[in-house]
Amino acid sequence: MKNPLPRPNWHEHDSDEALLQASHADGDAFAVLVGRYEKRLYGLLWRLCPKPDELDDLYQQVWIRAWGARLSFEGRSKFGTWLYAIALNQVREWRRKQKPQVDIDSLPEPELRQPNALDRLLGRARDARLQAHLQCLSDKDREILSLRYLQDLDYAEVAALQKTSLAQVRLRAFRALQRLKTLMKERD
Amino acid sequence: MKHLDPDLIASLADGAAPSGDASAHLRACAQCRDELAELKALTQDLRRAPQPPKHLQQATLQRLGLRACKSGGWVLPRWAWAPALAALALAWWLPQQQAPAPIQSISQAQTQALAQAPAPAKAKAPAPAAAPVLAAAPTAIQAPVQPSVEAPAAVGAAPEAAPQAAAPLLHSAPKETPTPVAGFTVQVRNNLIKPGQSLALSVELPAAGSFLARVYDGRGRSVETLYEGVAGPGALILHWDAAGAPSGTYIVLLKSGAHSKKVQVLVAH
Repeated sequence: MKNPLPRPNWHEHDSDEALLQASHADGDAFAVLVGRYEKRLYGLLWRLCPKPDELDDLYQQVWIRAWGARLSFEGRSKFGTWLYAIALNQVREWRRKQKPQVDIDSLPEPELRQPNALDRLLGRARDARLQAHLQCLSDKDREILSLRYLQDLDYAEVAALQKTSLAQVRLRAFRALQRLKTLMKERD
Repeated sequence: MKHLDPDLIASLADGAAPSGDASAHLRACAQCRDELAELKALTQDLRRAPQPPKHLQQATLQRLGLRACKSGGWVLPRWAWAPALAALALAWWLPQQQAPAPIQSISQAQTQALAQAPAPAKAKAPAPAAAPVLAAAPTAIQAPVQPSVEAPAAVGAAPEAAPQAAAPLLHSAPKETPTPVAGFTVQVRNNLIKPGQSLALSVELPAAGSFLARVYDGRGRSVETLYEGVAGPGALILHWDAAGAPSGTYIVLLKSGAHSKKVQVLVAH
């Protein structure tokens, strides 16, 4: 006999925005979103937060903020964009607590973690160097490159998140890419 | 020779389609070509990210006061548990009170007498969900009762088994754990490339290792290597700018260890 009181299977819902709306009444819908965006959000925070031991807490803080703000989501942007905006705000808040504002050019050269034999075998050497060199870019450049390439957002979405014009974001991304390439070439 | 503007080269690495002049210059200028290749490799590196720790999702949901939502199945809301349990208990208890005689020795008259026997005095009025059980009791000695929570296995079952038989029905769901897939998975965003578009592939690598992605034309000739080196674990997004490639069918070969996949792409200029 069919159960007359079935619970919805939230995994079958394609739309993230519909799931967020449903989470007003059912927390299970939000849990599905947590699973769907786990890798993307973690990857973005990993690029922007150079301290691995604080990454997990930062990740959870983003979701806590998103959970608290879910009622205010109006559907004017995609859920992913909305979530990344929360993540960026959380990262900026975290940065403000970390250190006083200094000029990027006056920061000391970061120490590159020298890849060991295991890293070479696993091919993580280049990733470790890239991650270290990324810290030499400004916060804004790092955010733009992460949103564009790691999250695969188009420039219009990146510009909306950065609250700047499309042309500015594109130019900034291209210059940051060039600078990153130069850094990797000079120091490797 | 005047080289291409660095911003233009960066935009080409980003996936923009080159103009005729830019394409011609790239064919002639090795320095700009190398610069473009380096930037393209850099954009591929930027697309990689590590897997999050396994405990992180569960820890996050706990902190939010949520639970991991299993796919599929159904779960009773809390208000229905009490009447459902009462119905199950009754479904188990009733047959114990009106145990039929062995089939071989019972006569038809005795069967009818047993079927018409009133319900035991101790039976209490159940919650609304179990009302149909009481109504059917006099004639349903040998028929399974039908509470709102289906538990046919519990009727007539041993007392110790009934609660255990009920628990899975209330809390469990058909388990749909994802089947681990050997090798890697690839998703194609668009395999029909029109003018101004580029091919986008999303590759999910379960472990780190050597990885190759190469484009071949319809005659089996290598056109471009999208990626060659160590990659993973994690997601890798590959782009192929087909602006310089003639219209036709192409095959993207992706290989990781002993596993390989082919993706057919149609370029229509």
